Amino acid sequence: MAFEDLGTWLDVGPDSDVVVSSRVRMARNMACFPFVNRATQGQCQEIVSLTRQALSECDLSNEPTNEMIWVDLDQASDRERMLLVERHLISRHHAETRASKAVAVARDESMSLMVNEEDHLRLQVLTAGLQFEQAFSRISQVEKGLESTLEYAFSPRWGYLTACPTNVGTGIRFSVMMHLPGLLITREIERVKRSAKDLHLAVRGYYGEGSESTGDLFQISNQITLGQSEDELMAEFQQRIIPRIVDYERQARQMLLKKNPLLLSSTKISC
Amino acid sequence: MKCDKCDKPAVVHEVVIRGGVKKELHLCADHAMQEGIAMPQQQPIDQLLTKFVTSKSNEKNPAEELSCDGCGLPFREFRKRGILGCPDCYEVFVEQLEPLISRAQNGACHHTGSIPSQAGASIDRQLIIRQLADELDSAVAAEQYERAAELRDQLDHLKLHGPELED
Repeated sequence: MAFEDLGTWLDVGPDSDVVVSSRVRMARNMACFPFVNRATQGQCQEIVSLTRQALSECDLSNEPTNEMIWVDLDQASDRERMLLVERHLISRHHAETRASKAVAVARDESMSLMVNEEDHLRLQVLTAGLQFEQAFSRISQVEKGLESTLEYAFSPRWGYLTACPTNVGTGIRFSVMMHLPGLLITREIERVKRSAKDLHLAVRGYYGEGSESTGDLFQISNQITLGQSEDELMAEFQQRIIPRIVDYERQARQMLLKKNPLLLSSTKISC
Repeated sequence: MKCDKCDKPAVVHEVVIRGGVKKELHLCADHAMQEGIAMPQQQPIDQLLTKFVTSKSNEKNPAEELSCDGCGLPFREFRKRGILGCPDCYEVFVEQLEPLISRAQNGACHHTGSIPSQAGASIDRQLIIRQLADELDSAVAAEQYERAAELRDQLDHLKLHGPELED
């Protein structure tokens, strides 16, 4: 594996004093196979090989790096798999087992396609700061490209079918990595977490599900995948929900700056 | 892998060698039953019905005895792990899944997002019908009868020009 120095999603983007990165994740399954947890080893291998074939026929000319690095995880070393987890290119769950699994990664690390994670395909695009339009457009293009070869499991009533029924519908989750030291120091973070629950948002740690918050970083994602279109969900998340948390964090920082500037001098916060 | 005789996933795989000639069989649950092939994870339908009736008489939840035809996943395993086994599970366990999904999705139980381009116009039309039906319900609830009449005419027109909704 050879990546560029750092993922482009670590660049400066809109609202990046608070929002480190934005991520769109899309789950898809192939219609002709059981989901990963009920698939045989042979079927898992077939899914990997069909995906690799479909990806090779996919038009990636609009992609920033124009090529994806393919990694068969059952042949990757522990160190390589750890690197992929650390760079948010695969999940810890995906790295843990040695069954037939793979990942395709854009050289600038802004996109990855996990094969045989919880679903057959888990496609994600990461961008710097708070910006979803470009990420959503890229993920949609690759998804449509794969669809010219692969038939997705879909039901008119439920939408895209996923192994976990809480992802059914669009199969899409929008999430942001937020740096919230102001809300943490002022202990307002608990209020944010309570409001997030009412708004059907999940608040997690730096490495997503099951992880603790590290370095005041929180991953916030939408939980609704059914009953609204992708555009509606994206607009709600990007234009209504996240800006409120961004404002709240900025207010907390300003308040701390007035009341306790010494505390801030020992904390890396930009106001 | 698909069934040799239809598009469902094959759940029975058999290799038969007769007179030195190897023949592979890949069948879905339905066609395996038609061929008289025993399925290790499935019970004969009469046993299943007996169990269903027995469990009813004991006032147990009959869903606990359900298994998916497509992948053999027992419903009780889904309850334990929260993960389904194949696309068919959504049909087999529909009654059990409806309230779960609706609760997780803030009351929603119909997809209104994008559809696969391969699925073609029929799904598109079904989604439009579903949206119009929802609008009609809202119009009736709000006593907007003129709007409701317009929506009903649109629905009738759409329904006349194609098959009915699947669900």
